[in-house]
Amino acid sequence: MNARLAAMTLACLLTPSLALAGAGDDLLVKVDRAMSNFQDSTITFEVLNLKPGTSSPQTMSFVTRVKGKKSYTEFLAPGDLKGTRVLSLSPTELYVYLPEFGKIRRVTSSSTEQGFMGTVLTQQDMAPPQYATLFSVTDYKTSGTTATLKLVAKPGIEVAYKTLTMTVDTTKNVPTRIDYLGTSGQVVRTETRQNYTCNSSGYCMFGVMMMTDHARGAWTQLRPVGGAKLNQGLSDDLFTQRTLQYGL
Amino acid sequence: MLETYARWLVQRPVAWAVVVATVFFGAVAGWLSLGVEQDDDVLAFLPRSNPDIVAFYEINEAFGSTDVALVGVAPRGGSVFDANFLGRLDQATQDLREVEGIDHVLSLSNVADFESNPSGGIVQGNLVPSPVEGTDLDALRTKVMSRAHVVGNLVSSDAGAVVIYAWLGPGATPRQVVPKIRETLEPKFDGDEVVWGGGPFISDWIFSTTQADMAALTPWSAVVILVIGLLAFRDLPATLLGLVATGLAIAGARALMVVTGTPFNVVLSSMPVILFATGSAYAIHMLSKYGGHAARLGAGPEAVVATLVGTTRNVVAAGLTTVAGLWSMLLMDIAPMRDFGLFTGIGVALALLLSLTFVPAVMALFPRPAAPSTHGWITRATAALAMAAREQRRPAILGILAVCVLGVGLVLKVDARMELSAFFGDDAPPARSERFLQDRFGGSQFLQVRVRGDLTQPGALREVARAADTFATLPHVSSVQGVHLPMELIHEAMVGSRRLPDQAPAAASLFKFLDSDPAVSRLVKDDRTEALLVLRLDSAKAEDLEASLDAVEAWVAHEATTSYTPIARTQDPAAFDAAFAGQLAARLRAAAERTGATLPGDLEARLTSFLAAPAAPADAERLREDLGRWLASPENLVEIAPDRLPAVRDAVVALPEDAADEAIAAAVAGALGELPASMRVQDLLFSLGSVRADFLRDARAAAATPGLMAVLGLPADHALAATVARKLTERDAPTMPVAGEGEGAQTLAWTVSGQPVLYRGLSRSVTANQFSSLGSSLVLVLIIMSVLLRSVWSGLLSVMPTVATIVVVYGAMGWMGVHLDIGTSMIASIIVGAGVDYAVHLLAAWEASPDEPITAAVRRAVEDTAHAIWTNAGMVGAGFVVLTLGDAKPLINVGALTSAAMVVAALATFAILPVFANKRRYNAETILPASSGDPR
Repeated sequence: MNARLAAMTLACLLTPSLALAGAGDDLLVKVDRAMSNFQDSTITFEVLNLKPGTSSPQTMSFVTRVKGKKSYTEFLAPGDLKGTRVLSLSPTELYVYLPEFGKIRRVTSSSTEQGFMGTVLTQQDMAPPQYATLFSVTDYKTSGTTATLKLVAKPGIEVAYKTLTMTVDTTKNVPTRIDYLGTSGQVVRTETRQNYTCNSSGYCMFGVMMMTDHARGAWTQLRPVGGAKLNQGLSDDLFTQRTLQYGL
Repeated sequence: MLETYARWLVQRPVAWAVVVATVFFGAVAGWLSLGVEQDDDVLAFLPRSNPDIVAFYEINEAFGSTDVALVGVAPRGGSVFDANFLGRLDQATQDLREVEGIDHVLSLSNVADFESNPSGGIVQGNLVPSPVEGTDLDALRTKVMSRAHVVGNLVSSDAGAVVIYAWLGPGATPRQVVPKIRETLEPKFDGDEVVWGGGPFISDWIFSTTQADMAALTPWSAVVILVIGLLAFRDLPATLLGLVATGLAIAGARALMVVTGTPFNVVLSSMPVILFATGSAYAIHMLSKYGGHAARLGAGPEAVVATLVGTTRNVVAAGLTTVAGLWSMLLMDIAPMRDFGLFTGIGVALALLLSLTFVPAVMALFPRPAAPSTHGWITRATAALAMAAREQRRPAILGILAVCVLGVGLVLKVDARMELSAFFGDDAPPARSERFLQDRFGGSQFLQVRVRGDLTQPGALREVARAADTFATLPHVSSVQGVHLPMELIHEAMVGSRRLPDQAPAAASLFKFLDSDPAVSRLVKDDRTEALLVLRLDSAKAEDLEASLDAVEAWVAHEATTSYTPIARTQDPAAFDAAFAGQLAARLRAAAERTGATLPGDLEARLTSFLAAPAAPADAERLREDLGRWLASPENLVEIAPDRLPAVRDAVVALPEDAADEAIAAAVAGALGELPASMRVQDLLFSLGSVRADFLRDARAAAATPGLMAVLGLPADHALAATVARKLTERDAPTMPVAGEGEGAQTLAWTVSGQPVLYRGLSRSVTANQFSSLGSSLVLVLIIMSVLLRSVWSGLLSVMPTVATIVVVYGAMGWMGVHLDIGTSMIASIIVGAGVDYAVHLLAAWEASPDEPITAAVRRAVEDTAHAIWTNAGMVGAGFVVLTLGDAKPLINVGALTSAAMVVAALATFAILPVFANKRRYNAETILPASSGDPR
């Protein structure tokens, strides 16, 4: 009798939480959709990157084309990277073309936390967002037009940071701040996204994204230049080793 | 004038005002002194003007390479290849990465690795998978132990221990980070053997231990001083008064440090004991003299006036000489030593001031009973010694000379030496850590060589590699890390062959892929204008470190390339081959050092002869193997049916090495059964171009390797063969760096740095400081004493016991093998400051009437001062000897030597001055009662 009562009490207490978590999962799906609601995209990014122990950030520029889970990135600057091309078929399978060597190299990766070209961004940060696929919402709070979600990696999913706290602007369903928590619970990285512009189909692109690595005192800032060119009918042939070798 | 001051001071309102003002001053100073900041920056001891130190700071700033904590762990199970241990290591590494103040963590669990992917390209990831569950641990062990750059650096060669490296971030101090590292790792490795090494732990240990010793021992030192004072004066309030006055002086000095923003450091931590010991002397002399005057005049203001009038001049002279001795440290180029001299001198000056204001004011307000001199056994024994010295002058002079000559001989054996082991004993945690790291990881001492130049130039990278290979063969160098190693590895990862790139743009491009690895940023600057070679040394002994340092410096001075021109083989085959032979010889010697192989003595000559001979054709089998693998991989644009693949491969292998594109296209087209102009053939031709060239190069090196092994007198399957084959791929480089200046020449500038250089710089600095501060303090004291005694000869006489004391104490150091270091170099200034005091007081009491023999002056002076001098020597000696009970080795040395020095100084005063003093009086005014010519 007591056990049944306890179970009922527990159920009554848990039901609102589960309902809220469900709402959070729905919101996460909307977030993914708001950030990848296109057939294909072409965006040029300018990057400022501050390495630990330095005072002046370095600049970098690249254009990236995305279709589905594949992306094709070409570096425009600095000079020693210009012409380097990267074909990503998945977060763990890349093909790299180095113009100085005239050949492509297949790089399969078992690590999700490898830095991307000296930045504090991981390869996963550069991939199209799949929060709803990778994470479950374990806590969900709303306040006005802001929602705060605690995300925990789903069982069996390999991600660099297993716990995130995401702040979402619910008017556009876009993340404005993501705190990446370490194994002992403290915030080790913080990502902020500001100045979103959204199109009629609900796709939103940030105006500036900043990732700060608190432990190392380093940061990387991404700023799209000229806006996102969407749904231009990019051919599947673009995302092949042949295009990688010959270039566009 | 003195009497006017004394009579003004003993008036009750004035005395009360002085006491109240002093108490107020003490309260404010005490409150302020609590805010003194701690500075445990060991680098603060380094003189900033020294070029070696400047270079070290620059390197430290550019590469942050010195602040690395090394945590060694030997798992309880005996092997690191245990799933539970590797899991804990992984968790520990992840947790450590999140500790604020740590820039980068490297351990076996997060070291990056790559290997060939059977389906094409490479697999990149961590060497040890995370989580490790489900991994074949035997296979993992084989894989890990095959990585030469990992074994001995991250895992011991017996797989029984690992080391975790944690680099501190910019601005992070050991005091902040070390406790967090321990807190993070201790729970993870409970039950395992864990040692904490590297600069941050050693620095923290030295500072913590010194602080703990001082905190624990200073009260005991005060108690010992108090007990000796009580035994001497048999008057607790009077003894306490002397100590309170000294305590107020210490508080005042510390408060001034707070006001001026001067932090407390390891050297300054000994200031309280030194001030207690030296600063209490003035109050002791006042109290001692007061006892005599009170017996004669009755306890009260008159006795205080008589004490002030009779003693002030001598006490001031004694105080000034002590301050001069301490302030001579201002000439030193080590900032903490200057701070020590300045603020301890200020403390002494305050103690002196209080002994002339606060102490007599209290004595006037609260008269203490008379304490006439009793001429106890110490005084009688001292008098006997002094009288014997005077009466047997010739033997005494000979004895003093003999001691001095012997002492000088031993002083010459004292060498300045800074080494880590000087800071701790053999059983201290840093020593245990050092032994652990030395036995299992080739040591924890590092030497650095900075190279300035354009590091994207292949020539510069080749010279860096040659230097690293050469350094690896020098004495006590257990391993060398340099940017050439990750560059060779990333070349293998991205291009397929482990060697240095041929062209500057290729190197610049590959550097971008290394940007993400914080470990590489420790070896090369972002702008690629500076690189660092890090040499791990297998010994912490100063002589071993110096031997390595000398060898490295000699190579840098005489053999390092400072200017080179990239020369193509076609331009000058002999110069090209000679340059490559030098690189090859260095690599072979480094590899032979690791494998134990014996190389011929005429290695360079054999290599030059070998390289001059025509190269063997490419190894067709190797080419077939490489091409076959690539043609089947997705890196090849053209998908080839498996049944066609061998034909295509063999067609390409059969081509002459210098085949033109048309010939390759024709061969491929034939094998594919397609037209040469078809898109697939053209795609394959395009894709194959650089790939074939690289495979040919590897195949040529493979073909040449057996021949070179034979030239070396080694079997073809010797462990050195792989090294030879890899290095021979660079034989086909378009250019080689040939030393020489001229148009298009590139320059390289080499600077040797690191802790051994710092120790040497610090040792030189300590030696120079010792001479300058000792010389200046002696000259200052001589001037003060000459003015006071109105005679240069008398001034010289007064410093003779001090000089003799220094000779004896430093001679003892030479005899016992105690090195001159930061701690022991302070002793001379303390001896000069405190030791001359005894001569001041003895000469002030030295007087014989015209009808008396000089021996009367001897007896009178000794009987008048022996009690106070021995009381002071006993207090200073006991105060310092307490320091020997601690763990901090520098404090033990300083405590023991200063304690002994005070006893020697007192003995020297009573033994030397009676021998050489020939005047009837050194005081300006007579101290003899007008009615009496009898010695007292």
